[in-house]
Amino acid sequence: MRAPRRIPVLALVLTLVGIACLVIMVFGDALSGHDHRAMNLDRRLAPPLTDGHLLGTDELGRDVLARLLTGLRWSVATALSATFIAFMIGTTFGLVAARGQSALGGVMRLLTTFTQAFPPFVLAVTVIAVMGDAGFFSIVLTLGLVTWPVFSRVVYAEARSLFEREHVLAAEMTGMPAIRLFVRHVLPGLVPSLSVLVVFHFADMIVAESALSFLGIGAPLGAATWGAMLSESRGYMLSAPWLTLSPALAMVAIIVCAHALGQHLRNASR
Amino acid sequence: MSALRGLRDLVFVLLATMTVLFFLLRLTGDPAVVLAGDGASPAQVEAIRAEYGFDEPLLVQYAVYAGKLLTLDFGTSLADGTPALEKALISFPATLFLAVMALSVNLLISLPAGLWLGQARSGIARRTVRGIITVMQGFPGFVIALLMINAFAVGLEWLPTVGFGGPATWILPTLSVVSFLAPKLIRVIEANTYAALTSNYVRTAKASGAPDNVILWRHVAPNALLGAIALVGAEFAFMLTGLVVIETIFAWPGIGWLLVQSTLSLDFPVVQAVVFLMVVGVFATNALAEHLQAALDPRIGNARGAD
Repeated sequence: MRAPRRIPVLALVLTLVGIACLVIMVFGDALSGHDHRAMNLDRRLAPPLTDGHLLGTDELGRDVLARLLTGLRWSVATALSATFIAFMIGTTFGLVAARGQSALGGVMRLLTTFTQAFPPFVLAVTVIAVMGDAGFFSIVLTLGLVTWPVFSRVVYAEARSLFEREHVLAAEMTGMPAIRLFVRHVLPGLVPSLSVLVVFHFADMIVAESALSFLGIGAPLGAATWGAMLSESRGYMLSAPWLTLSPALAMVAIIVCAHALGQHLRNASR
Repeated sequence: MSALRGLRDLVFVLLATMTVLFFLLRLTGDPAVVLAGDGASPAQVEAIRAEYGFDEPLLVQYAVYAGKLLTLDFGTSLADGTPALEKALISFPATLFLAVMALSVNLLISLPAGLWLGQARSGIARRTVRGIITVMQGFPGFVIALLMINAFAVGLEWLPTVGFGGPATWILPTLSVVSFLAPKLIRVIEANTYAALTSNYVRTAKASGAPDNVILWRHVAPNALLGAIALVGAEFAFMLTGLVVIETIFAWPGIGWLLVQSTLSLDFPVVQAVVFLMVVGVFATNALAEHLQAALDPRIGNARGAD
């Protein structure tokens, strides 16, 4: 039996995509050679590859590539922050519930059901109204507050079994403080499943943010986000299909990559 | 016991949801200003505020609201004066209809696909199908909806773009929903099929000479589907609350669409009635899935009896 020699294509592609994202996050629309806000009414709805507009222009003559890159910045930043908030709330809650009495577990189950039953759309609109303005923080806060049960459920289930393990019990018997017990002995055991969850959640947040800004309640008015671009493109589907296709395919590409990474992490942890 | 606990949970969640909703909605804006319309004088706004009781302290308003809630009285729509619950109930069938259609198509696609993937040997065909599913999972439902409108309605002009009329208008919304539900269900059925094929009862059936086809459809398929009931239930519950964007894109007159309209126009009674209906729908679906699973799967029934 000879071991199959395989080039790690997946790892290579994912690394390249990661680097590309990082570069775009740093340089933004400068990479396209155009300002994403610059309008040019003489050159409306120019098809891709005309006059230095790689992906064409939109109904106001703005460069589509510049808007796409600015949108990626927004999408990745909001999705990362929302994932972080959901992760912090969900993990804390799951750990506390797993550690505590069974009544706490019951309370958590109810709170989880409550959060799942509450329509995210209503919460989004109300949070944005309360914060006074549509913007980065209200959208991130909304997504985090709505989606934390994803983490708490997994952490609760896994931490409960971890607390029964011998090394955790032994550490507990030496009188280790609760916080240190969590950080040193429980959290490391959660890392494999949490890392998979974080990656998949990131992809879900990209979709959720785009859906909200598609409905016109996420990003500030006129901001170049993928959801807003999709929403604006609806009037020009026949005359300018690239307006729909560019943000749609960009979103799909980043989600497929995130899923591939999550799948890879899941297989690796088995 | 389980039914009682479910009912207790429902009451708690309804109470919590409706309370949080009440205070959140009051924070979003002043419905009196919306009701009075543009160009109303401060005196007119004041009069409307008094008429609807918006000038009372918030806690008094909440007490009145909670009292009426007990008799399922949500008040009347601020937009047109029709009872709010009636408005929500009228939109419910459209959402339910879309959910049932999507569920049926989803099962029709996912069961054969999952069964085939679960029993197929690894080869080019299997890898191709799995690749397609992975890519499909990357398409958000509303993006699929837009792309399909682009291709089939605007480009080829085969189907109407939006609206809720004959069967032709049902196709695109249903397919959009199925496109993001199916990959998950296929994956679960595939895993269940694989597990069933290595089980003792399949080995016994094989040893007694049953043909592969009979084994697959009579022994493996029911078990694979049984294990997926929880997911099917969760997907159905999700459809009762989560089709906001799809319904908006297709101008589908369901509760998701009504929720967007009423929230954006500060029509509080309608928002409250819609959310109430959604929570009840989610609970009913979860309870139904749980009972269905217990009724169809003797192992679960026994486990609970011994509990």
